[in-house]
Amino acid sequence: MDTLLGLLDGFAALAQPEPLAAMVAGFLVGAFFGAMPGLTAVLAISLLLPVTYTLEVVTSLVMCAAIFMAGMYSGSITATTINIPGAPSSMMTAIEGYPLMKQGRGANALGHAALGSMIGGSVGALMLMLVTPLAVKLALLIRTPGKFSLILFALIVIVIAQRKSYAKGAIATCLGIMLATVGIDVMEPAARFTYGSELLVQGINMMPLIIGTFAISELLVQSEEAHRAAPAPHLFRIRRRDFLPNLAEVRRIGPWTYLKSAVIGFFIGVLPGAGGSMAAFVSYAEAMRASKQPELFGKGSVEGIAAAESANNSMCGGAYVPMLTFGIPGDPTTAVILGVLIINGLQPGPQLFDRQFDLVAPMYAALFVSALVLVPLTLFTLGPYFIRIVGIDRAILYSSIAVVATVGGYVATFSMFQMALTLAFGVLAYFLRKQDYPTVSMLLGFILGPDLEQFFRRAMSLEGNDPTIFLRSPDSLFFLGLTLVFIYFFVIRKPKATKTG
Amino acid sequence: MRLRSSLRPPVLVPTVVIAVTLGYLATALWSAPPIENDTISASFFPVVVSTVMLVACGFALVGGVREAKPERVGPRSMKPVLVVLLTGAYVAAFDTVGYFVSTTAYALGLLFVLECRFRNPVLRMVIAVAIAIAFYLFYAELFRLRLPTLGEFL
Repeated sequence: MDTLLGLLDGFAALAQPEPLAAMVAGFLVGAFFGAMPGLTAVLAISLLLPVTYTLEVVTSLVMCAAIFMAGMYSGSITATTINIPGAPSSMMTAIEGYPLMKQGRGANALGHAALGSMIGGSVGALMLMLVTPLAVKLALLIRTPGKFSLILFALIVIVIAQRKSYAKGAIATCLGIMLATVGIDVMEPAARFTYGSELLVQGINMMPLIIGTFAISELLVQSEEAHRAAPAPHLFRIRRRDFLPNLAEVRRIGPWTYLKSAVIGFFIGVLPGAGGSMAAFVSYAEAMRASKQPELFGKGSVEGIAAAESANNSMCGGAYVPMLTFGIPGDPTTAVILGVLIINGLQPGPQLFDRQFDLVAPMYAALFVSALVLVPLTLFTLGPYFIRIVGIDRAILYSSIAVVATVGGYVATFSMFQMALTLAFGVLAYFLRKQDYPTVSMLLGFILGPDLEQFFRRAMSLEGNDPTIFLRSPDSLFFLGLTLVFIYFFVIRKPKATKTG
Repeated sequence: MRLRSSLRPPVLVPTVVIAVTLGYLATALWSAPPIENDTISASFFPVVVSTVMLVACGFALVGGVREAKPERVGPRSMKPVLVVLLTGAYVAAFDTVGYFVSTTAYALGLLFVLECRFRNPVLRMVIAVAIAIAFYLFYAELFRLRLPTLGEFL
């Protein structure tokens, strides 16, 4: 009952002028970044991270939620119109949307994408509201050894999620953990790995790492493609009424497809490191398996679009669950939002819900309202203009992003050292990206590393340095067992299945 | 030829990471033994992470050597290098010459490097000034964040 009242208060708080304006502004920023190929919601939040210092916590979190939802949805616009997914999670939408565009049904495809995003995003936000109180109760049962095993499980899942190369995933994760060990030790008041520099005693700030990893590295990657001309936007002439999805098609897709995809997307979002791309892919594959017209998939299936968009927007709600309850981000965007929480002095976990639910509830409300109201409203009012976004001069756009990113590295702490670190991390992330090292894993390693070490050392010191505590403690044993299950199914068993075809 | 193949990025990246990790490991071991008086010390965790890192680097190195076919690639773009140099110069000049001058110069440089569609230098200058003003308004006026000025230097 308290939770329900808290959620209603959250909606009331969202109706206040400042959070409401932040939600709308955040949604427009997120929609712009999502629709522009190469730009993502993670980048948008990273660039806004420094100014969250000056905003109220509620306003910052509401803005982040709106950017997240908008960025996830608007990737479908360029995926459909020019076959370039604005966000990686819109890859499946491009496969179905672009053939429809070529058939002259592009606006219809966009309408289905918006409807799928609206339903999926709303269901995901509602499930977040329902599931989080249960997850919080579970979180209270987990003791120190279990917390260590849970974080270890999350880190291993993050590595496993990098299917291209587990070694590269492990290297990026360990690199993040190593960076996090610089500065004061988590248990003793002693500095580590400072190499005599006073500037490193405070440790490495999360801000330059996030801005460097997502903004500067993107600038360097895009600079290689500066010669590429932007697609001609005037080729795509779309009227507002074209965006309304055909009702007969909606009936044929059926509520079950939307709901099933949203549930799949939500639970994939809960898994650390999985993200919107995997959510869209899995639900798309399931929709194709269950479809009465599987032959349409790949040639312009609105069912495929509905499933993929419903899942990737529902993933937004799912990704919040482990981040808010255990401090383990489900995807890159929630990793950066976790940074916003930490920077503003909020610590994820049961106490956040017990004492500061009034700060979190408006964020839930923003996620729900963004999906239910702003997705269709924005598409209907601004849809025709979104198509023109891709025509913006890349040099002007990326010069602006470069200024925001570099100055952002400065204004966060007013430190020239942090500004220089932003560039250094950007160069590091660029080299890692060029060689397919997952930079998101580096960030997650950086965020989770200190807790991993702290809970390990605490558990060991409480039990007289007896490592069997991790096998004797039921919660720890559960997560270690779960880790083995994941390794078995996703690493060991997978190659065998491939061999047998 | 062998040197050239060992300098290819799939091999070079894990090699550099191994070198960095060995330095990190040496620092950890030098600062304290991992277990002191039957108690885990501050160096224990870094030693474990370094060991995992070295094992992973070993796999990545082997994978890099196997996949390493001499690729015939076109001329590499120097633009990322130019962007890094420009950004480095911007960072160095930011506090000294102030936000407005350094940002305008930085934006102008990027417009040239990133091949802005508008080729007229005067127009590019106008765009660079507009970028500097726009983000001055964003940071200093909207969010009341202090930015360095040329006056402070003079």
